Amino acid sequence: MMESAAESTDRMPALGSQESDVEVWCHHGANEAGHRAAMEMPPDAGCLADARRFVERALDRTRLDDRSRYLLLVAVHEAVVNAIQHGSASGEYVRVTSCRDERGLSFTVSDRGSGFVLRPSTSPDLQGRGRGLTLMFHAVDEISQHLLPDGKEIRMTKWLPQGHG
Amino acid sequence: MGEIARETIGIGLSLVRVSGVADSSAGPDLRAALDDALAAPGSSLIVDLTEATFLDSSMLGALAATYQRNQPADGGPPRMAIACTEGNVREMFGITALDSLLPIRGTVDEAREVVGSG
Repeated sequence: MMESAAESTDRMPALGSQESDVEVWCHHGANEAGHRAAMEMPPDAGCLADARRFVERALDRTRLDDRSRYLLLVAVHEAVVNAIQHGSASGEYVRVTSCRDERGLSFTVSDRGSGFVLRPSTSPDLQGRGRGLTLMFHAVDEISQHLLPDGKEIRMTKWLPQGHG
Repeated sequence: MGEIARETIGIGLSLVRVSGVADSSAGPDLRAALDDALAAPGSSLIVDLTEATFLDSSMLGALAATYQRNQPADGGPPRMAIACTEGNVREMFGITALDSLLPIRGTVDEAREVVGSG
């Protein structure tokens, strides 16, 4: 993928196109306030690796330790899996964004699904559900759900120390 | 991406090795390998995660469900154990509290002692 200090766009098909189920659209932009990037992907588990690569690129812009990187990677991955399974019933694309600013590193995952109870599992057992949410809550400092006119967005933020990366 | 391979390492004892990235796209392969390994009565299984680099909640769920489904009714030793070294992947079991519900050891040899066969 291309990189630049200003903006770059990678592998950009017509947004929302269903002609190819493996096309992933990415856009990157940077200014003095920080760095932003976005990608859209079809609701296909085969594209999860693309989402993880997108997250890894954002993590590369920080000096987070290996453990924090891994946990964030898992958290965004789990949010994307949720979006694929529950928020894209008709094949709508899932959108992932990253934003690096003075507060920290934030990721959003948005889909066309309705909201749900954003709460980690509290009674772990072998049949348990909600493990993905548990992993997400563990990885970040802030997590919230935002209802959108045409879906919802999960926002996760990891605070970074001032001057960090 | 990752790889899931099954081999027989003892009498009635299988090893399912998960290496690399194991996410929900690998779920069907993992569940099939686990079910095949425990299909025969009295068989047992070690799941080797020592070479896994990424594991998501669907994989954790598959392991937990298989373990629960195959718990011996007579209170005997578990039919399934997991080998996973300390590190990021092992921490997934801790965060979800599955480390207190599943027999997890650091090496295949240690996991083999748990299932007590082969």
